[in-house]
Amino acid sequence: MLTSLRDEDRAPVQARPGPARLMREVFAVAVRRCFAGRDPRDVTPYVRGLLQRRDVRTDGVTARELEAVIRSVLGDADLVAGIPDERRVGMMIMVVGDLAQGAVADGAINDAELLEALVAQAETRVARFDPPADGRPWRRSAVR
Amino acid sequence: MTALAFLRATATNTVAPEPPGEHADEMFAAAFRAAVKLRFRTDAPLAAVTGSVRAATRRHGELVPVREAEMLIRSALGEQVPIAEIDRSSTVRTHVLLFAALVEELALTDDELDELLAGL
Repeated sequence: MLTSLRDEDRAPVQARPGPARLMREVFAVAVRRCFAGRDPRDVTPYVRGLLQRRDVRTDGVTARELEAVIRSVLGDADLVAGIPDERRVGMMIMVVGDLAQGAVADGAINDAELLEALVAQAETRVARFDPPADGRPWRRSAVR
Repeated sequence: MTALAFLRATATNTVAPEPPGEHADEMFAAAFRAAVKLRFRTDAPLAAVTGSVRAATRRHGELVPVREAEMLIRSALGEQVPIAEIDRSSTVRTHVLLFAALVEELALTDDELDELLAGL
């Protein structure tokens, strides 16, 4: 998971249910800590800036999908209809990496600590709200 | 004229007398913009916009392209939003189906609907 986030490489989480579930939770934690309580319209200029930093077209389908993926964890879950899972995970990794870089640039924490903290909080949330069906306690080792 | 008749039929849930014709797109776009401006203030909460798109989806299902529809509404309200790379089919479906949905939300009478269409 941490490798995926550091390297923006979705291979370690791709098509594996445990890591993909955890990645969605890391994404939800990161996005909500940045955008919860704000006007959802704030997501639009954030996406524009993110794509500009990556030299990607800012006014087309990628921008719409990226905004939809972000707002899907802010209460607009139906906006992501039709976006393939693999593409969603790739966008989630990109957004978490970008938000983490922004937080690190603000000071106070280094990126390794921040990503560790995000993953730890996501693990707690998965364990709390979505334990395995067989009743085993959920552990980090279960998704490695 | 056939484009207006098509819009009226869609908004009143009746059968259109004939196809809208090949050059109806501009009329559809104008009707959509007029209905959007009637339905929303420019500072309307985003939740109101997504609510209207959701209502259109409940009625017309996957025919409504949800992301494109929301962005086209926000663009009609003057926001800078990503509306490039939307194909003609999605654009026309949004304009026609959202026009009907917004007219429904406004609870326009048939006379008011005719007045709206006549003003295009």
